[in-house]
Amino acid sequence: MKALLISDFSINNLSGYLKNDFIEQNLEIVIAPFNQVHQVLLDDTIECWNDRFDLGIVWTQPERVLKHFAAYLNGEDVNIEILLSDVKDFSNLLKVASNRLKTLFVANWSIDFSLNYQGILSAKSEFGIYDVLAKMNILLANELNIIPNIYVLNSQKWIAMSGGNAYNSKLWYLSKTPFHSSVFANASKDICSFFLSLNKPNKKLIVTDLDNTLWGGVVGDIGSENLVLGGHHSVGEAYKDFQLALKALTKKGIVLAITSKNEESVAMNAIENHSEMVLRKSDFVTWRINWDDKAKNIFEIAQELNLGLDSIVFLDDNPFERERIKHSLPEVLVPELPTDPLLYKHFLMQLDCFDSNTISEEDRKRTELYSIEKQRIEHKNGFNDLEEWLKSIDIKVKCEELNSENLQRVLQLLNKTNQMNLLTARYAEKELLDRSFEENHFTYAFSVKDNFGDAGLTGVIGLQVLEDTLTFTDFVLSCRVIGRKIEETMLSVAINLARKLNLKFVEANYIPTEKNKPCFDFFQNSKFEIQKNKFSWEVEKMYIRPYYIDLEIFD
Amino acid sequence: MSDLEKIKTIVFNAIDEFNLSQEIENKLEKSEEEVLFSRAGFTQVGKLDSLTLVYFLVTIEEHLQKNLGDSFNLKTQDLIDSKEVELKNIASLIKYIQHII
Repeated sequence: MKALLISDFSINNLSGYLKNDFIEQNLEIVIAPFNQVHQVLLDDTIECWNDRFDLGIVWTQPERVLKHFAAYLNGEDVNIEILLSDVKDFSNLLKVASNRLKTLFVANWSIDFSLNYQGILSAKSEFGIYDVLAKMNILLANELNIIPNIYVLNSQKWIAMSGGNAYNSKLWYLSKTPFHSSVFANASKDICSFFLSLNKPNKKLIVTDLDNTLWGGVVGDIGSENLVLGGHHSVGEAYKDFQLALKALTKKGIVLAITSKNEESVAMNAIENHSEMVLRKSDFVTWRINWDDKAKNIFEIAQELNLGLDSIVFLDDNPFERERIKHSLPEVLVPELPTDPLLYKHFLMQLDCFDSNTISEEDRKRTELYSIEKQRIEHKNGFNDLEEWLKSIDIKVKCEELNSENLQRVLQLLNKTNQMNLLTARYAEKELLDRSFEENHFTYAFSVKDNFGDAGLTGVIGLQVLEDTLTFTDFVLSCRVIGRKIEETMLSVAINLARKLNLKFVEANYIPTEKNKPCFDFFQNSKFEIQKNKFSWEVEKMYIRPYYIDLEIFD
Repeated sequence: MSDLEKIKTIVFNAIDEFNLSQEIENKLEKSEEEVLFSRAGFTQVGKLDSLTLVYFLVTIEEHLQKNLGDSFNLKTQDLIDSKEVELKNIASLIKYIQHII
């Protein structure tokens, strides 16, 4: 992995932290010539652009890259419109440079707020430094947010986390480094976490304990009426806030489950009837409230939800239970919950394992979707024959080309799906968009619904014409709808397209990973001809798709 | 604990903090023999360049200020400008600090 750092100050300190934080990615860093930000962004003949970079990071000081802001800081009378015009010009340079990078992170601007720039006038609207800087940062974000591979990062957070010594005059005069090394340490952690969240699946499921985790006390001993939860009590309030924070995560697509050593009826009574409970039964997709080993419970929950153990986070106040899971299910993330419940919410909100660059409609509805899936499975159990069951649930599949409305969800599926994924290719937004403009390339998105509900956009195929063959560049299906013959329906769309384009073959080249064996198994049973990891279909041959699936294609 | 030992402990703590910002091959060892900086006349090659030397000295100064008070001044620019041997290795730097306290 290669990164380019562009700055108007000495940014070498950040380079050291990044190399340590990205140690698994073996990060190579190039630092662009010092204090030549405008030239570097504009001129792609400068030597530092000789390499191709996965990531560019631009971090500047506003008084050094915006001419009129420097004058403004020196007390000159500068019109706000002129300041904002400088911001637009600088944003345009960043947009140009972003074409040369897979991903570009731009740190927003900060100044040393400990300095007394304008006294009481600092906060005055239109004129005050706080207001001006906020306006500049908002405009920068608005200008850049429309570019798919640019992300604006909050440098003010890194500075605030470093406290009163964040700015260091001595370092500035001795080395042209404005910040204390702790600012760079904070920046590096965010940069690493954000970059990895773009390219690897985040956690999807929190399995939580109940007693002394979601509420204070042991419900089986003291009864639900005596639990410490909510009310005018610091600890009760902290537990309630912790539940609110967990509930907020469900809006980002994280689902919740319970494993707790309790009598189920007693625990469920508290969940359903305690007046201060935030999380109710409907907020959990499944639960194992029993006296069994929690490792066994978590394993069963993962199987039930068809999720990998590495997508699970386990929360429990009891160090013994945490150690048990760490030891027996090492793929599960087990954070060290603080001993003091007053710190639970803050601790949860500092975890970066739930970071995602997009939140789709499917994410917001995920808990509901799992609940519908539960009903579907119960219904399925009443049938002996899979086809009979599939016919009974009236499946409708909508196929449409990649467009601006489905782009984010398509990107999310491509980058986060592991099991039914032919090549496990991961994409930056810009790459996917660029590809969609190529004449010989096709990307289709599949949405699925049935009598039980709408699973949303759950499948993607990418196809490329190579001579007389239509080759899959992607074949991805969410685990939520695997096994409902959507896979076969997606194949039929590809074969029909090949026929329409007068091609002879459809080909799929499987690239094995640790997790995508289900995709190999599907193609192996698909009647495609197999040669090692390559599957092919002669277009002349009729491919019969499941006739009971109602397929609607939108061009 | 003697003054020299106290200074040595402070410098070693500063090395721990400094090393967090350095990639593996540039991390300093907590040893009095650790060579800091290469300069004409020094026979051994140090791990720091002119920029990382500044970061290191500022980190040491912060640690000394925590122990000796905010007014402590390592006189970093003088140290960097000097043609003397204070920056040769950790031992010589510790001696310099003991001298200016």
